[in-house]
Amino acid sequence: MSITASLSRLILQAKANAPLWKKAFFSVLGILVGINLFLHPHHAHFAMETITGFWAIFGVCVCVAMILVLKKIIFILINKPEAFYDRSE
Amino acid sequence: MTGLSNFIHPALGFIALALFLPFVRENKIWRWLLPIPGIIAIMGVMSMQDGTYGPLHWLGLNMVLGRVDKLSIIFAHVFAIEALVGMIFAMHVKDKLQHIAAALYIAGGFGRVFSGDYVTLVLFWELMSVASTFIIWLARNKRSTQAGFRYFIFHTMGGLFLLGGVLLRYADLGTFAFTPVSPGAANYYDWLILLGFCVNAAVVPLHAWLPDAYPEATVTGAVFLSAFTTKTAVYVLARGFSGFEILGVMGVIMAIYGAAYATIENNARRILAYHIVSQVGYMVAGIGIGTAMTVDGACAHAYAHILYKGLLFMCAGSILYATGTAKLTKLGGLASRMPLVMICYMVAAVSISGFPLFNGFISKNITITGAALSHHTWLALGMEIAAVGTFLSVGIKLPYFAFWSKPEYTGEVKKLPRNMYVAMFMAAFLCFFTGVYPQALYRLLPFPLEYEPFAPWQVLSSLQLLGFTGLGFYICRKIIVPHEGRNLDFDIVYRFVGWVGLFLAKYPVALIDDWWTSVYRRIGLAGLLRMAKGSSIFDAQGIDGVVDGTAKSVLGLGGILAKVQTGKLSDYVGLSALIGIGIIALVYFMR
Repeated sequence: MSITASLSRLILQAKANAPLWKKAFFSVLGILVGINLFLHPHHAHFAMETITGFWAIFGVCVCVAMILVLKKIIFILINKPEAFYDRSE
Repeated sequence: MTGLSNFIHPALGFIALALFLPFVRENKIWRWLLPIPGIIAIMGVMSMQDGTYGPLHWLGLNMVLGRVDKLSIIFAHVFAIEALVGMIFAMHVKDKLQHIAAALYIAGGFGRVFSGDYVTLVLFWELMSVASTFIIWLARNKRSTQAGFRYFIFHTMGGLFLLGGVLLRYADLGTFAFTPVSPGAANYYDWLILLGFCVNAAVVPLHAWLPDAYPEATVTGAVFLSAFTTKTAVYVLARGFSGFEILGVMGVIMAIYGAAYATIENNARRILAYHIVSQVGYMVAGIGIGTAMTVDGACAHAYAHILYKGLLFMCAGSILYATGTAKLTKLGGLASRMPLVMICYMVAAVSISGFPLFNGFISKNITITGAALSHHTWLALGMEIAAVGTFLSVGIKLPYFAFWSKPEYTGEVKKLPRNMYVAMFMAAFLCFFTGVYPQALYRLLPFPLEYEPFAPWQVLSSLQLLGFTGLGFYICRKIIVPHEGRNLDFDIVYRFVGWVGLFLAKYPVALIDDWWTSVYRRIGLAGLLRMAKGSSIFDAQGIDGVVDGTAKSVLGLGGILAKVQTGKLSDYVGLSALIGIGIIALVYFMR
């Protein structure tokens, strides 16, 4: 299929430009917080929501905390070898 | 408004398909029959009018097969669409049994959604339970066989809670009518029924059957499983138990729990299975909070969820089909080799994560806003945490380690059949369409809704939340790398019960059995032999000739019975379902 081939080429090109994508990603994040300086909720559902960049801080903090707690503590406690349940036979 | 004039039960087409398939030989012909019941169902649901149709009087019971109102229509609507998409996705499969199981399963789903009384509900409930077990078994490997057994036993237990509750309720109230229960006046049997529903909705800690069994199902079967079982449970909860505060709390726990497990899981299809628990959590929470807006949110989310979760399972299934594995540790760098699958996956991933312009953005925010407006601030906040976990695990982690990461997967990538692409494009289009044109969805909601999804602040806060979740992933990208292994979950509880049972069967029971056998050999067998000797003399002298045929026919019956007794429980389950249907039909016609 020719669509697949041309898409593959585009994807490989995009991969080669990884540093550029990284810059684009960080600037988008900056812009989102920038807009937040001017745009505030009319009636906040959460009291904290009126703080500029609250959802940004919430997102990154919850995400990092989740990964650290789950991967560094929970995962070590509950992870067993793939064949753990097969031993009963 | 009774009669079947303008109500064609959507289940009929699927039952007809299941009955008809065994008689058509040519694959080139019967594969084109598969999408037809879905098309009929879509047209049927579109033309339905509110009302009560097709009451049946059976065994002195009043059964209502067609209760049609806005709540049943929105679920039937998306069921019909997903049945069509799923069947198209499965068109290349040559194993007829898989299609039959799927068709009966879908029929059960429709039956439940339109049932107006508990008897009808229980009957279709069990049809779904048996059919879905076969969908898992038909993957035909050892893991799926074992997972199917656990699935079936657990669902039978849930079904018994329901049946017990229904019968006790009948003893008390004298009716099987399926009507809403008011949260303040719930009786003990109502709680029993609720427990049965909760097993089906995979409410934590009764959820473990789901991530245990779904990843073992067939590539095409998992698409159906992801859509119907839990969503019919959401429907019956919305119908009967709206406003039960405990469901609100349990729902949020589910939402976070599923997302958390998905974050540390390695098998792509198990990640998605945990995300069913998580997403159904939003719906259960919406129903539990019970305001018009949150119930609307739950229904909208069920609608959106069926579309994007079906698509996610199709894409993960495609990866499994093409590469032979769904483990992230073995995949990587597939983007350039399966670009169309990657694009479809990303559409579904941004939908489930709630990106603006995709359907999850609409439905998730209705529920969260509804929760916040009714002053359930903590529940709303819990749902936001789960939203972060969702985007982290399904939106970034899974695609990153399947499509982009190094080392790249270097093995063979099998070519996908065209019908799989067609189904994925259809689902992707629908996710996008209901995302940019939510009015199509609003029209179907059970309560009138005043909600502007694209308010600037709503869009900005969602983008901030998701964008910075991406930043969190970037910071921790070295830590979140998936690892091989199986994470313990609540299924260990009933596996343990199983091991204890097996141990008892192996040792004490076997001991008694041994002892009994020897007693029998000494006493019973000797007696039997003596009796046989006596009767053979009697037989030789008198009866011979008169009943000559009996022994032969007994022998023949024994042969048939021996053939039926294959020793495979799977055969027995199918057989007992068949006999059950036979008895029901017999009673109906002989009455």
